[in-house]
Amino acid sequence: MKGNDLLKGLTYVDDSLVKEAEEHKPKKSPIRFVLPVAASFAIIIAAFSIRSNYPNHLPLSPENNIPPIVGNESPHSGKDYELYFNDADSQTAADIYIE
Amino acid sequence: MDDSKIIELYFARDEAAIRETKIAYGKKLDNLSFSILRNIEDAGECVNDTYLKTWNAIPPQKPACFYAFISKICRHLCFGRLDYRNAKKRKFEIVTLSDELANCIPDKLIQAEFEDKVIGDALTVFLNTLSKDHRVIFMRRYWFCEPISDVANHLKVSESKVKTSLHRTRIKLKAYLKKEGISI
Repeated sequence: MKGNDLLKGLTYVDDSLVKEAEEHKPKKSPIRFVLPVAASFAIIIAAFSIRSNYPNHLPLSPENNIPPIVGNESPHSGKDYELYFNDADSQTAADIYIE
Repeated sequence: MDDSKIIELYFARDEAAIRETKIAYGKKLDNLSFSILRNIEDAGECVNDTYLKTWNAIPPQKPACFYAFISKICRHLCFGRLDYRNAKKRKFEIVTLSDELANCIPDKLIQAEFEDKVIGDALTVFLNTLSKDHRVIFMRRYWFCEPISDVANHLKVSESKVKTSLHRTRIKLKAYLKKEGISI
């Protein structure tokens, strides 16, 4: 028997095998599904990270009740939040000096 | 037109059956015939003979899978034409395919004749042991006589993967033929 005999014999294989080979459709690559999902996640993550970099845009809540800065007003101008710096007189260490 | 309706036309002896067969499967038969013969004129003649043989075969036969039925007729005619034509000159493509499959024959020294049908049955059993992907690759390469590049394009895989699959399948086929005693 020669290779040609096998080729001829192949003609007589079952019809279902011929039909299967003829109608076979290649599997769709999973990358087709992975790419859109990955792109969607990237967009969502980007949106959240941008939003987190702008705290003034966050809604007021008991944990975050600082009002947004508007105009040139200093954040320390309010009396309720008056700060005192270099108030060394009230400290013990202020009396220590070298003659 | 649906295969069953085409077959009904054959049973009604309506010549539209041939026209509808040509519309539905003419291009596929042309490709199959040309893949084997590599000659447009011979391929065209074999396809026309296929229509005639189909017309004569249906009825009484009623094929379950119409395309497999007519493509088998076409393939048979093509190899007959090839034998006739290659009496003096052998064609490169089929020689290549034959040589590839000849490597599957365990013992080339012993000569024996096997009926094509027996070989076909043995190959059917063997092919059913393969995975679907390997089976389809093998069938497209050796049944439809497609070039490796076409097989790879059709299945959306690389040519190297097709070559590897064919190589492994041939090794398995050789072992199978040896096991079945088909050693010639």
